[in-house]
Amino acid sequence: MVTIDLSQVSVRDGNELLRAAASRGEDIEVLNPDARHHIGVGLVAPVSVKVKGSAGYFCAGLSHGARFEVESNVGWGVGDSMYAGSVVVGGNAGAIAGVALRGGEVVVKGNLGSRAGQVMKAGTLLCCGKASFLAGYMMYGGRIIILGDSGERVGEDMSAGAIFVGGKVQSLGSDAKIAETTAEDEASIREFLARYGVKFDGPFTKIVNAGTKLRYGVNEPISRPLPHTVFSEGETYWNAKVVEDIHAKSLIGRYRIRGYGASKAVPHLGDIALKIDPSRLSAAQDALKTVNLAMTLGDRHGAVPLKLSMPVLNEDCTGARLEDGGHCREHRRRRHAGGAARRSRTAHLPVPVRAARLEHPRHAARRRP
Amino acid sequence: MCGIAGIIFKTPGTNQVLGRALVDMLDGCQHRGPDSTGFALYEDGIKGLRLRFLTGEDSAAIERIRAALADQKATIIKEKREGATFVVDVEYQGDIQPFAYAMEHAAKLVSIGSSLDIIKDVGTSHDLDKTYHISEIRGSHGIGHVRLATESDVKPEAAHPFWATGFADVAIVHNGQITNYWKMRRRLEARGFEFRTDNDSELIAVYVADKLAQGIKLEKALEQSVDDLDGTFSFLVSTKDGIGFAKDRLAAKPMVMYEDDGLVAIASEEVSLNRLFPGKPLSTTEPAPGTFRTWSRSI
Repeated sequence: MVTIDLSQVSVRDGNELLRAAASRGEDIEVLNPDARHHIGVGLVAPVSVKVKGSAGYFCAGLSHGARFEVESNVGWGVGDSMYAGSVVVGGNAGAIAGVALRGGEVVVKGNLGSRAGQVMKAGTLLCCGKASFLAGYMMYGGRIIILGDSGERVGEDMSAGAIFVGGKVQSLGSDAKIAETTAEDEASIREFLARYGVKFDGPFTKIVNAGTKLRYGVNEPISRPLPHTVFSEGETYWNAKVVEDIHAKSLIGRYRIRGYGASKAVPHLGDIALKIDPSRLSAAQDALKTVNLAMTLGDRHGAVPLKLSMPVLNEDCTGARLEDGGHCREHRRRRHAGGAARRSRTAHLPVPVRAARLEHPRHAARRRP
Repeated sequence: MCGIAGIIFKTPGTNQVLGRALVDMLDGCQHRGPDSTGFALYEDGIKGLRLRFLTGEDSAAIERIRAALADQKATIIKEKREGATFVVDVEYQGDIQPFAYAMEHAAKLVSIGSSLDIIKDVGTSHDLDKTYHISEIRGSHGIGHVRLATESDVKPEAAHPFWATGFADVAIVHNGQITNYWKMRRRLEARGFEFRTDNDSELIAVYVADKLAQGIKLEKALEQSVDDLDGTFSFLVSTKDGIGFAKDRLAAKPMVMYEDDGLVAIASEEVSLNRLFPGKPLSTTEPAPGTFRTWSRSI
């Protein structure tokens, strides 16, 4: 047994000592960890490491085969990308516990922070308390067992793997569904709990991927090389990938999936920031005088400019005032009214367009007799 | 990334090694922000109002400050130059906000308070301790910050804490990004508030100041901030009476709390809390996403 006192050496030096001892096959005790980060990162020998206190971020990350026991809490990312071995945490774990787990076992006796088991691929993450929101976020393999409540949006965007919740499922994430726990699932969980001396008799709710997202009715075609022009000058916009993309789109009617993309919500009224506090505007001010709806295009390099302008419209052609929301109401009324009114609706729409005056000299000349 | 820390001693008159505690806590999480460090300390025994300015070597600024103070009918009790700052304790009766703006036009004002003193500069917590003797400061509570610059320059005025402009004894420290910064800033500017930097954390200070100006209680202001501010944030706010925190709904910025009979300590990471109790495993809790809380000296 080797003892490393982190009040005497830095974590970097401590980890060097840890690796040296582990390569000799000696078990290790870490004293005064005081929640320092990166303890035991990259340890690839099957030794036992006892951390006498709390560990900070990424404890036991990237390790392969070591058995860690942390007496108290751990910070974010315990067992990050661990390949094999185990971590047993006596207290709570911060966010992203077991992130990107590639195998091995992470056991947290207390509660889990948010996004536990994010993008994990294999292995088991056990939480004996409650989990926070987004447990199993984007997981694509392995198993998460939560003996307490699940936290909100459990299994958000998971694509494979399974989450077993012993307490209340607070809410399911998108693309997650509840499935039936099989006898094999049950037996395997009980064996796991017994191995770590955790007592729990209640039933489990199993959560798996529902398969509604990122799946399309039409598959992407199998790519085949397409002829395209290659210029001797080097890279251009046209390359094999671009041509293939266009081909795929022509066949399936959408772009191929590249990443997750992003959606932009329609701007909300609350997004409008007014430069002047509206309560300071007095009724006497003529707001229209300050509005200028004119622009000039192409007035550079001696060219004849194109001048565009239009009057400020504060009433639509029906006479319904815009400020009262009259335009919209009028519009709706007409839509719900009979055919005669419907015809008159088409008549008023082009008016604002006619109000625009085009002042290009060439057009002006054309209008002259 | 940035690191924040706050501490409040529950029992008045005891255990008030405030400066030492915050220097150690910030040293614990200095890896989260090596660019600059700052403290908002609520000290015992300040007479009148304390004003701290960033002046550097600019002697003309000190003359401008003296002239502005005379202009505002504030009597100087004591003044000193300390590091890059100029500290002056004054006797002043009147509205703080116009006084503060008048002083800000004279020089870069860091804080005003009857017990608040904001000390911030580029460098680590130990660097600042050497220059400003922070570990000798005794007091009831305080907050601190280590900064990794992401949104604006590395300079003393962009360091945290930020004083809630116009409100004596209110300060904030922040870890995160406020993504609706410009929208909120324009709204606050339209209401007559002035901004000194492009730092999104200053917005939180002014936001809190605006709420307090409307007579809204600090706890309510923190509750509203969780709805009004977009982005990822964990921030601490301190007043003459106590400290509080607010945390965004995404919980993307860490925060850990420790409480016992003598004190409440909050920090970005447990490693900071452990600096108060070396070698002792702590029973800590993590505030839930989208939550806020305050502690006052009367608890």
